[in-house]
Amino acid sequence: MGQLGFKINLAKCVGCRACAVACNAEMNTVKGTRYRTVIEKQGGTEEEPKRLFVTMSCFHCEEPACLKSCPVDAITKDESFGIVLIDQDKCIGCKYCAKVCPYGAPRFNENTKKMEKCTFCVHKVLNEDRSVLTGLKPACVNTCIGKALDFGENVGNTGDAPSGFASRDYTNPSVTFDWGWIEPW
Amino acid sequence: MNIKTLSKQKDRNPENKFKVTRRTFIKIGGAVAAAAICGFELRNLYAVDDDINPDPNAGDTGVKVIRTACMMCNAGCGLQVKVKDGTAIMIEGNPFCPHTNDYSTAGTEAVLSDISEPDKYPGTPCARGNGGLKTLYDPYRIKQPLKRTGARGEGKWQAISWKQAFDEIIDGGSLPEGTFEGLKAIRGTPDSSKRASEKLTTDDTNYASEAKSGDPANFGYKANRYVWIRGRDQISQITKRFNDAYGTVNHIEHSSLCNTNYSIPAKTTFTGPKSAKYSYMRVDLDNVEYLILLGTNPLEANVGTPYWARKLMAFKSNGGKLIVVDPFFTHTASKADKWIPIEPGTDLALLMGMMRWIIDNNRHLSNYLSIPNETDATTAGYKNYTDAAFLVKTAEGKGEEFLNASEAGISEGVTTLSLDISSSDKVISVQSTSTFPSKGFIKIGDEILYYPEKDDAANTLGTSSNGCIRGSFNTKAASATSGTSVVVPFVVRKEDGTITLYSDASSATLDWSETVNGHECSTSFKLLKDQVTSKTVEEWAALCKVSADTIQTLADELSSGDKKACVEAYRGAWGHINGYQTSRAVNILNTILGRVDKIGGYCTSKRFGGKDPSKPVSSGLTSGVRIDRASSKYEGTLETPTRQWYPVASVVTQEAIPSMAVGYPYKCKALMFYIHNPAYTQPNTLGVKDALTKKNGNSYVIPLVVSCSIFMDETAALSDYILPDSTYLERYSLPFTSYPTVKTKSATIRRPVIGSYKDITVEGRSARVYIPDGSSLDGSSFGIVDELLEAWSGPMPYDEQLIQMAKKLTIPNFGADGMGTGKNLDTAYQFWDETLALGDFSNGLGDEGASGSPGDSTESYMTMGGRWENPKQVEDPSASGWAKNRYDDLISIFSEKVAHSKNALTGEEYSGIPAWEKPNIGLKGAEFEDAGYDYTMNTYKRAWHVQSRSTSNEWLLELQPEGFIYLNSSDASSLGVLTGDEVIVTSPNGQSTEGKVRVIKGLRRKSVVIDFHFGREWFGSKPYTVDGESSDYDSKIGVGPNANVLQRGDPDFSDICLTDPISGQACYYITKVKIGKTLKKGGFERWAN
Repeated sequence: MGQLGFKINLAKCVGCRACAVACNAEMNTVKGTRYRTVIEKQGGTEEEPKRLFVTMSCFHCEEPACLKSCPVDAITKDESFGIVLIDQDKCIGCKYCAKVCPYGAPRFNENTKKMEKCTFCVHKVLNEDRSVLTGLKPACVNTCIGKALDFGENVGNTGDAPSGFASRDYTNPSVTFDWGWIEPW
Repeated sequence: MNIKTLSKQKDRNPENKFKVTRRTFIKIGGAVAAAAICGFELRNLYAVDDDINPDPNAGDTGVKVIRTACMMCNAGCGLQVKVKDGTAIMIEGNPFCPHTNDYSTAGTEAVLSDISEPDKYPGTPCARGNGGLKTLYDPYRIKQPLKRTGARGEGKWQAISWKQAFDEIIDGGSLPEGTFEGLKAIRGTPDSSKRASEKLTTDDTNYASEAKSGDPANFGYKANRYVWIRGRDQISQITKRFNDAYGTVNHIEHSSLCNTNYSIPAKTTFTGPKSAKYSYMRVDLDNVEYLILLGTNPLEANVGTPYWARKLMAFKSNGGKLIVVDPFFTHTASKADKWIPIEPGTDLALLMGMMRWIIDNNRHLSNYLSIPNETDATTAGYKNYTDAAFLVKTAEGKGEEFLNASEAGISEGVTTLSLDISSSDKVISVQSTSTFPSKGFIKIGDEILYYPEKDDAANTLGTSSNGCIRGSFNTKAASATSGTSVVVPFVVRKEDGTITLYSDASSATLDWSETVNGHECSTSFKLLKDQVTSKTVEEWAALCKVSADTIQTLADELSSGDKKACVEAYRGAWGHINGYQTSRAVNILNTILGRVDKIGGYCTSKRFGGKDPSKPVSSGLTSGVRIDRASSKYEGTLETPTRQWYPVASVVTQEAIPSMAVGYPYKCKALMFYIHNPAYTQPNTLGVKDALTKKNGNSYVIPLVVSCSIFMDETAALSDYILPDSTYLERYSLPFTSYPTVKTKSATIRRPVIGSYKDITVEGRSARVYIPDGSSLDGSSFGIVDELLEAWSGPMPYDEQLIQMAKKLTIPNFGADGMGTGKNLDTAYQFWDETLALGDFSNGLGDEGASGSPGDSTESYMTMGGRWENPKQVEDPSASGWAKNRYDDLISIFSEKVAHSKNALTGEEYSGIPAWEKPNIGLKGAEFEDAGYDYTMNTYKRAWHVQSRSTSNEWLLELQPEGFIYLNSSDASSLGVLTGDEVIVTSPNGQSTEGKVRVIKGLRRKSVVIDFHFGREWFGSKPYTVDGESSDYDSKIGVGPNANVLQRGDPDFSDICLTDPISGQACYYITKVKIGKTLKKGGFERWAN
């Protein structure tokens, strides 16, 4: 058993947003509280432009800032697989976690007045008592058309993060970046 | 690695420890979305409950997984849908469908055991596909038939019953302006076989002199006064059946707004003359190593985004080289090794320049091109051959027609008919077959036929066991009388100088012109060479504004070595008035490099399919000239017609509505739309809106307009009746199968995932009927159709609507014995059951619905959602390097059909070989400059939207709440605008649109790109009333600019858009516009990039 994390191949992501919509569909998110979003970066010059698509969600950090900020202990990190979850019964909607997350993962649900975020599709990926992987994949990983987004245990948290991505030093997000055939930028 | 166990003691001052904020990471897309999100109405339109409540998994109690096909675009990717308690809860990809998953089969064809636990390990739909539930459960869907109570477009409606709707549409009724004739009266009196039989008269037209022989009866049946136009119709087996049986030729597809410059060039290059069917060709993405894409962005659009993304990214991972030619740096361009921002509308020049270099440097495959027949090509190891060496008669250097054996003065291959023949005869009796090859082509009159076998003893071409294929090469099967000459239509010159039948030379002279038996001739290849060498590479470069060095590099890379290379183009390259020739140039370039049918090259595919059910009445159903004059040669007595005629085109959608408004060439009485929204989607949209609202005194010129749609779209809003359809998740069909995206034989089945079934009797005959969720059918025994209509409430699938309409109209091929003796056509279920069973799905729908619920068939192809041959087997195992599914036929470099056609307005003959034409020319040959309008406009289809019908989809709209106007940074600077500032874009057609700018890197200077999908007038963005009550709406749907209103009209026909005269293709990418600042400034963060 090990820390679950995402593996993102930045060369293969085509920026289609299928992952974001699959997450909405799987998690029945309320409008305005999408857990997964795709950032577009522009670079290069007019003559030789560059584009990068970076899919962002909760990265279930090893040192989650959200957990440390929560005044009511609503946020927990699972011991076996490291999934970070916000307990809807305990959350008071103070938004501290949203303030401190380097990646914008916690979202405020206007209906419930509480914070929500990516759960790593814990309801699919782990069994009832969260002791074992089921073999099922998160909805975002299932749908990635370019085969850019994957997940696994102990993914290694390696690879250059795209420039502008909040430093790993703060919270140690569980994500490995692979740049494929392109130069990191 | 140990996971740290974090204590429950937290640092209560997170700000001290973590000095990070969101702004550390520059979110470009996010900034835009965030600003908009704050303004969103946060009502949850669809949720199981307000808590985080993820979907149950496949395999959980009560969860069914039903496989079907998507229709969020037209690719028809296989889906599997999780359904719980009759509600669709999650859409995923069908892993058996190669669009969304790579796998291989144990046997030749997929079986369930080929994929382990397929319910749990789905394939990959794109954003649109994933969003389908929000279309199914869209709160703005129309749920009942509506009839307008105000003027067209006023937004005042009343809800009516299906019975009232059909009664009025069929028998006539009244609208606020007065009464109108219904479909029954429009059709006129039928004959004894219930066919339309009354012909159009001088009462029906002010243009009788433009009919053949000046006789309006040659315009066809009165039934032609009913015009039907479709958009995303994937049930064409039944829509065509209805329109044919009704008796109208005006079954108008949307193709000229879509892919006509892909299909007509395919029809005239890959004519499949042996089978009289044409083949579409696409790059074999599984094996290609070097790919040039022109004017297409398949990572967002094209046909099969999931397939393209997976294959193209694997291709790049494996070292593949991608070149993207496009004025705009799209998502696809962002993955390219080289992006070439070409001058819009000039891809033809680039291709001609490349061919120039290739021919000058002998990089074309002369050995292959010199082989003039199938037998010798096969011997030499090729799987197809070309007309490159065929001799073509020329007039002033222009190719006109192939030189036939008789004209060449050869004695072989010349005879006469010894018996009369009809257009359906497959055994042709001639005086003598002895000098004819064992199989091949013959010409009788204007028709070219293919005979697969001959009988020298009986002197027949074609035998009873192996009959002729009639109407090859885009010619029409016709009757002919005994004594008519029968000749071999193709001859070549051998290296020793003799002229011989194409079948009598293993290799022929390729590059040659001379006079033969008094006829000036060139080989097809020479005609091509003359055109490409008419300019130097530098001159071609100057036309397309791509450097000569780049053209040479591309030509060199494409044609060198053994690598698997291919060129492909789509709308951006040929959505122009010169697009027919551009698309032909792509086909020809791939051909002269020998890429056709090779793995990693330009390939076709095969399909499993259904077969149209038998038609008890099948001949003489329709006649005359289409309202868009497609496929008709102008033969009127007046020298020049009033509007253009399009003999080569199969459809010119943009002509239909404006022509109806001016009664050209005849006056029409009714118009029906099926999933078609031209009041938004047709370029130069004002022409459509004006036509639909044009009045003659108190009445509308087009008296009856019916829209069969799910939404209150811009066209439904202008209609008289709206008949609500069901969604693609609530119907049967065999999706769009033409595009050979997947190179192995395949088919996806579309079937309902929710709703119910009922076994009923209608007029004493039993049938099963499918009822969508949200609709209901009271009772199960109906004496007459009207009783069924009275018992139905809620949306009715369009195929069901047509069947009931057909029965009320008593047209043939529907109802009792409608599909043959003992085969009744009373419900859509029966139609699809028969269509599948007659085709490759031997048990039809597999008794689906017997339990009353969807997805209960145990038939394996139903459970898997289709049939697929092993997707890994693209290569022919017995022919290394060649694709398993092949074109396998004669490739046309010279198109005789096009060469025989001319522009009816100017008399100019069209060129059967790609020839340069500027992109700024109208139908009458008028060149337009639009000085002062200095930005060339491009439209943009996003990966998360489709045409006009996804705009209100909550999940998709949330990704990008507003449409934008894209400018490059230099142009933005010169205009003094930043991202978020509002500009007004004005067209020479007088229309303008406003929207917010996004400054980007990666756009040709003086180009502007405008998002499609937005700038909506209706579609849930404003209310309408039904029986006085206001509908729900959300003003944030579809905010932004609308580029279609800006699209330029033809200089001589301002009611239609720019149009390619050869194929009828609508032009979307050449309009020049002006851009100016409005006074509104943007509210977004500004940043430097």
